[in-house]
Amino acid sequence: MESRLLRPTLAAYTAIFLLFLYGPMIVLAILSFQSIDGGPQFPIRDWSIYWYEHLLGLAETSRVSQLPVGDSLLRSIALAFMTTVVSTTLGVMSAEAFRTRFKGSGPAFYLIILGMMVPGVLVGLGMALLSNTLGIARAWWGTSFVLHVVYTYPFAFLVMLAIFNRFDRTVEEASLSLGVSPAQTFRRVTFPIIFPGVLSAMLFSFTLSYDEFARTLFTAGRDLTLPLAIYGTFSVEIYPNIFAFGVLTALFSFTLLVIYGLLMKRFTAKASRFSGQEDA
Amino acid sequence: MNSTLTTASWERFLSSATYLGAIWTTLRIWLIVLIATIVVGYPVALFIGLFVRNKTLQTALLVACVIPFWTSFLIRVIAWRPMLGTEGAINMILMKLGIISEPLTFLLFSEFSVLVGMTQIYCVFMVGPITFMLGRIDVSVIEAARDLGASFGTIFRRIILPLSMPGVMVGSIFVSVMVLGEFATAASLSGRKTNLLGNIIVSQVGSLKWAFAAVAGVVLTIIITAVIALALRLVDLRKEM
Repeated sequence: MESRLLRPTLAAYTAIFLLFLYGPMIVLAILSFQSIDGGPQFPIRDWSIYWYEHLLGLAETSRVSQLPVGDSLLRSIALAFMTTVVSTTLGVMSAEAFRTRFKGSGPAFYLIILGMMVPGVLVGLGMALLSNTLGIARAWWGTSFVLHVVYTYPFAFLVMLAIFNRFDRTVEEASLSLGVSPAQTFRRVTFPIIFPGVLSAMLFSFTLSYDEFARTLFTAGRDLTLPLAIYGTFSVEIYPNIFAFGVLTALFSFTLLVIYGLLMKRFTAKASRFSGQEDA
Repeated sequence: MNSTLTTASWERFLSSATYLGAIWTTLRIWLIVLIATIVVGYPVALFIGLFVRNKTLQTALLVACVIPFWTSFLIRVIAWRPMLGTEGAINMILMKLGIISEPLTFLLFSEFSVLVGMTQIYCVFMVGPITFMLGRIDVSVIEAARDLGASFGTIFRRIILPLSMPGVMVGSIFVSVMVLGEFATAASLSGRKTNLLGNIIVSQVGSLKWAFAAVAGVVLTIIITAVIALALRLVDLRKEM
């Protein structure tokens, strides 16, 4: 390969690509420290944390109305939590089912995957039409919740499917042949082994649901979730408080990622200690 | 809701230049973004998948590509405004460098900003699958070709490109589905100049014209089904994976 020239070129290109990915967020983070009289653009008149105070309701007087994030944040977290529990449970259960080939497993597989492939606007519209026809009131904990599960369940399912593909069946069989009940076997043998997968499935479900917007837009009814509250501010003039909000949500997401990373690390450390005992 | 069966909404949709124009806009934006994500993403995937031998560095680069996905989608869209605006970062830098004397106005609230925003947001869905396929290429095959005197151009055309095609296809399906169902990027970056089918659905639902929104929804479903059917015809996914 003529990699003497090609390799550095591609490396430089990748660096520029990463700048392209991160550039807007970096600019947004810088502008979130704009002073009180500055707008959502350069130049920075003075560095301040005014817009963070404004976002948290600590600023006293303001020409800009506060972002309606308080209640909607709680709703979004509750919805993401509900979705996580249901999607992960469903994902684990159906991945268990798919360990053996059953009649109609092909169509069932594609039917599950369909949920993550259909654009959110379309399912959102469909759900809104359905609830109109059936006379069901639209609410974030009802119609939106169903769509969030339909969306995140395939992700949890695929993660668990990948985990079960590498699963050593003999440990389960050993447990069963020793007379342990299937329920006990799942709890004491299977579940601890698949736990990293469950954790990943939960992470996927939570973050996807927390940020989901298109599916919620037509189905949330009166009470808004966080992405809807943000979307509402798009139509009016934007102020740096939305940038401050962006920085804080990014920090929140990274905290989640770090917690996930720590749990994963702790688990793999425990697992390697077990295998170390086996060697000795 | 009115429950009489009627084709009035269909007639109105198919006879209106605005709505037929939205179909055309949707297809055009989809095609440009699809090509842009392939062109922008392929070299990155080539570098990460084939040129980086160190597994840790490979993972680190992939993680670096994925991290922006853990921030809110709407925030990532809105982040392009201070970047591209007339008083934005790009104009400021270009003016400081003396390349331009007047701020460029076509950057924001135009189709251009929608294309840039969508390319940035969806590019990773192209990079991921291609990197995955490139990473599976047996290096000895490339070495054998090189020992036999093949230039990099030939190796790329005859070995790397064909073996990475399933990745390009999977990426294309991801990007297509997401771009065709888009409306938020167009709504917040185009200044209402770019109307996709998704935007029409949103605005019709907003004014409670359910039947009309349903027509736009059916049209969009037909387009997406056709695109995916075409992509699956080009590559047999089950055989390739």
